[in-house]
Parts: sequence; C-alpha cells; structure tokens
Amino acid sequence: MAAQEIAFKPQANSDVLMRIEDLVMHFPIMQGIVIQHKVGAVHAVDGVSLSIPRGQTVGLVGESGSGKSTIGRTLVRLYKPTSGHLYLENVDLAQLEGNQLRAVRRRVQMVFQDPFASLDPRLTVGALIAEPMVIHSIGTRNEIRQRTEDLLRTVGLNPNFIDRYPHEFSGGQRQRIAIARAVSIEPQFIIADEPVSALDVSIRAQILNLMQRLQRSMGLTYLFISHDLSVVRHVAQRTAVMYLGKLMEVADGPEVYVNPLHPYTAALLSAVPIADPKTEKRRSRILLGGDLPSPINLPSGCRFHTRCPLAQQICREVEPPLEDKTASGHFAACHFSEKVDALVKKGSISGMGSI
Amino acid sequence: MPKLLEVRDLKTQFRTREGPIQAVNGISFTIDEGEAVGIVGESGSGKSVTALSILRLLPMPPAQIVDGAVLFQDQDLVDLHEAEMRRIRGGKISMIFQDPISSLNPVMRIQDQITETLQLHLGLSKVEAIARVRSLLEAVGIPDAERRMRGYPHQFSGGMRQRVMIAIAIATNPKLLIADEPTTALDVTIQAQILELLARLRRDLNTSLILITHDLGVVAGVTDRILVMYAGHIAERAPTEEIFDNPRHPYTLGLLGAVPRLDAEQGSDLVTIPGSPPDLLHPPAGCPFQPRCPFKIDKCATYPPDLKVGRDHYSACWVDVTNPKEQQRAMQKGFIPLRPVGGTLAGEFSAGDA
Repeated sequence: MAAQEIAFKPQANSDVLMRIEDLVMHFPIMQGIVIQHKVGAVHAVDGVSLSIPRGQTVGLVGESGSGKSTIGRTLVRLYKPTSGHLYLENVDLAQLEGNQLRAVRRRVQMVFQDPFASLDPRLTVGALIAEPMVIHSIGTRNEIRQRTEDLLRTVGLNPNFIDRYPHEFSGGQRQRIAIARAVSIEPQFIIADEPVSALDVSIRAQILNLMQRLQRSMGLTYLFISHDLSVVRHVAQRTAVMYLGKLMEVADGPEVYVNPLHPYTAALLSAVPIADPKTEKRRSRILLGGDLPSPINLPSGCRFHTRCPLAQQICREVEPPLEDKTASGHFAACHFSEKVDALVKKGSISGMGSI
Repeated sequence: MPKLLEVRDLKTQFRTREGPIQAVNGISFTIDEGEAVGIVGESGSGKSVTALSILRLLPMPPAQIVDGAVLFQDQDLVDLHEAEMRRIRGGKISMIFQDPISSLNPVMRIQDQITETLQLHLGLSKVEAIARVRSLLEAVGIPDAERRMRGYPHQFSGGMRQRVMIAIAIATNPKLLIADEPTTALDVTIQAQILELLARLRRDLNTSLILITHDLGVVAGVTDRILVMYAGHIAERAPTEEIFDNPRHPYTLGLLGAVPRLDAEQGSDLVTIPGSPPDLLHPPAGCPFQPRCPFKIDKCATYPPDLKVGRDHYSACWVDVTNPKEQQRAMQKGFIPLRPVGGTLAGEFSAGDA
C-alpha cells in the first residue's frame, strides 16, 4: 500500500498509546469447492472502540468466543481488520503493509497463552530470544548474545541456560522465555493473551509479578486479555468486558467490580468462585441460563438479551450503545443499567430451565 | 455419619526406564457417607492418580499400587477381582472427567451411551432404560430432553456435554461420585451452573463427593473438607473453613496468597512460591516442599508425621506457622503473611445483611 494512503490523525489525548476505533473483524464462511462464494460471516469483533493509556494495563475480559483474542491478534496485524482503525500514537496499523508494518511491529509485541506451543522446539533459548533482534537487525552478533544473557537474568533465569532447548524447561520458565523474547526489542506495547492461564497456581503469581516489574522498569503498556476476572482486577487499571464481539462495559479502577452497570458483568462476577467459604456463603448469585449464541447468527437488538435476567421488549429490538452512564467515565451498553444494582443485591436464577 | 471410604497408606508408582516415579506416596484419608471432600493440588501433585487408583483405572503396568488399602464399604478394592471391580466402577462409584468432549463417544446417540450403563448395572430393559434416561437428563437440567437424547455429542455445547456426563455418572445412584476437574474446561458462567448442579444432586441423592481441582475457589463453596496435596503427599487436611481461616502448612499458606482474589483491592503483591514442584523421579529427601519453603528448618530433612493441629485438622509440617517468631524468620526469606480481604465486590454482603 502506498504511503499517502496511511491514515494519520491528530491525537485527541497524548496520554493514549493505542486507540482502537470501531474495529470490525468478520471471518467469511465460504462454500463450494471450485467456485467459492461467501455464505455468511463469523462476527468475531463487531465494532469495538477502546483506548489504552500509556504505561498502564488495560484488561480485556470475556468468555471463550467473545472475540477478545481476535482483538489481540488484530492489534499485531496477524489479521487484517474488516474495518475500523488501530491508532498506535498517530499511525493507523489497520492500513499498513510490508515494510511499514514491520517497522511498527517492533513497537508492538505479543505473549501467548501456551508456552509449550509458542516456542519453536528446534531453536535454543538464545536463538529464540535473539530472533526478534535479528529480524529487526539490531546489534552485532556479540551484542545480541550479551543482551540475550542480560534478558535471561532480567526474567529470572540463569544466563547459562542460553544454549538449552525449550523442552528442558517447565511451563513457568518457558513463559519467562516468551516474555524475554517479547521485550528483547524494547517494544512500547505488549499484548498478553491469557499469559498465565496455562500455568499452575504457584507459578502464576511469579509471572504476574515479573510482568509488573518489567512494566515499571521498561515503561511498558499492556493489553491483558484473560477470562479470569480475579487476575484482571489484580493487574489492570482499566477493565473492558466483552460479549459476543462487543464491549458491554468499560471503566477505570475497581468500578467494574464494585458497581457493575451491565447485567452480564454482574453475572460474570457472581459466577467467579472466591477462595473463602464464608464469603461464598453470603454472596448473591446471578446464574445465567443457556449458552453463548452463535456469532454467525447474532441475536437481534442487544446481543445479550437471550440470557439476560433484565431483558424487556426494547432489548430485542434496539441495540444499546456503549455510553458513559456516570459522567465519570463508566461506560455500559445496557438499556436498564440503573436496574443492575438491584439485580446484584437480590441475585437471580434465570434462563431456560437450566437449573 | 458412617464411614464410606477409607484410603490407608496408599502408594502408587509408575515404572519408567529411569526408575520408579512416586506419584502417590503413602496417603491416608476417609470419606463419610454424604460428605463432600475436595482434593486440591497443582499438576503432578498426585490428586488425579489418587482418584484413578481408587477406581483402579490406571494402566498397569506402567502404574502399580505398591502398598496400601482402599476400603470401600469395608471391602478392599486394591485386590478385588477385576469382574467385581467392574460392577463397582460405574455402579457404586462413578467418575466425571475434565474433558467432556473426549469422554463421550462421538458416533453414539446420547441415549444409547446412557442406556448402556443402565442395562449393564441395573439390568433394566431397553424401554425402561430409555424412560430413565429422559428423567436423568431432566434432572441435570437439559432442556427439551425428549428430543435432545436422540442427538449426538457434537450437537451439545461444552456445558451441556458435562451435564450428560453427570447424568451418566448418577444413572446408577452411586454411593460415591468422583469429579476430576469437572469445570476446568468450561467458561466461568457455565462453571457456576455445573457446580450448582453438583451441589444440588449431592443433597438430593445423598451421594458422597470427591471434587478434585487446582482451584481453591471451586472447593470453597462446595465441600465439607479439603485435602491439600503436594508431590504425592497430603500436606494438610481439615474442614473447609479451617483450611481458609487457619491454614497450618506453609504450602497451603503459599497457595492461598498466590491466587489473586476477585474481592481483593489492587496493589497487594502476590505471594510467590519460589521454584517449581520437585521432579518425582528424584524427590528431595524429607519433606518434598522443603526446597521451596520459607519456614524450612534442619528437621525438614526427615519427613514430618501427620501432626494433629486442631479438631479434625492435620498438617504434615514440623514448624508451627502461627508462631510469630517463625513468621518473622520466614518473612526474612520473602514470605508475605496473608492479609484479610473482602467486602469490595458487588453482591458480597457483610455478615449482617444476608
């Protein structure tokens, strides 16, 4: 793509590192063997806007199939978005190709969930960590080797491990290697897609603490994608809750957890078990009935109405916009967000005969 | 409550070319009728091998129960004849596995997979069995059971498949239900449905339950008692509230502090347990947790006995972790004491409100 086609936009807020604007990612469903034609689309991401402040962690929460990983992958341009803008400072990643895209990728890196699948088993740890530096032609061979050893030390591994292979390491150690690889070229922005979900409980805390330490020392900005609300509350300054390709609720600090304004968030919170039997006994539960609808045939109106305990006629007809409900930056996409508080207090068991 | 199951000094090992792996290394516990017991531990702690040893579902060889007894209604399952064992398995004791996708036969209709169990264990006719399948599927909350029972597994979602697995497991009115990570593959809203279902079925059928999980939150709401396993040993066992209110083993303390809690305010550092679990081919001498333990003393080179520290509360540790002097010493090695959390979550009431 030619340079003049790259969209440049003045920044609304210089503290924002990444601004996602109306991102849509539809995967076409093709039919036919020789002559293929499109018969439908999976609406993985269906119009998402979110800004990620510099130096902070934004948590993106949702269940499987919500589209949270698709957003992560689109941000590093593993996918080309169907429409929408992805402004990293003032460059729109959505429109970049070739060399320009490669240049931007130096600033955006990704850490994946499964450290057993994300590291090439045939490369040594040294080669794995050095690979991004080699691709981006940073430093001489000796400099790269020196920096790789430093990085191993930074993530808490013995620099003598440099010539070993991934199979010689445990899951937690592998995730440390994946993190060293991601930070090796000093990116500004890291997308961490379920970085601790595959790890044992005692190892999880080690990796979370390491990520927070690196954030402080390197000034990193994180998009932390997870299904685990407890982990996201622990790490994120802003939380976005996603359901079937759309954001249901976005707010800073503990707002989402303490005063949820969307019934889906409330149900999600009440479903998370807490490691304390006394607390468990005195919690209200909002049990959702049924399963996630298909992202191919989305429900009409609000996409949550099929499982929502507050749903009314209007919810089946009109899709509620994501709007600031409090004037203090607490966004929710619900016609009846003022009723969520009462729902939370009394709890509910809804749905089509599921319990 | 009368005793239903007693596991006595069970030792299960796997023979490998490099030597035996002590997956379960001398554990003892009991389960009463109608009781729900949680077994908590990380991967490799021996929690699943314990369950599979009780049901003798391990491939032998390489696995071998080298010592101990599993007394179920006063009958030792370890040296029971295989034909009799088959009657108990799926009859009086049944099991629910983590992955409902690979546990169901993809080319069999749902109703045929359940009638199989019913005809085998209860001697029902085909017609009787099909009628019972319908009521079972309704009991586990599958809507439109009459029609869905003629479907195949791929037509069911993950949560619905796990309901089918539970229906199969309760089909014979078992005395004991063993659920091995039954909700780990499921989303959190579906997990809440399944846990609610298990709790309700246990009450209605008066079945004992062993719930195996790595998630302390899952056992907190469902079980009466908890066993914490580490490297093939039981580190601590106590009534559920005791484990959370008054943990006495350093590993339990570490686990509780390492999990971020949904109702905790931000900013608190997580407790990290340094290092990783031991290689069971070459386990450390003495207490297996000792290389990672901030409370370690010289005595830890010999394995601690199961010390009684409270009513029905046992901990395999030489050190009194409640002693302020010991805590001071551990804090110098990076130990972070647990702080009370709670009250900062929507839908969580103070004790008076509820």
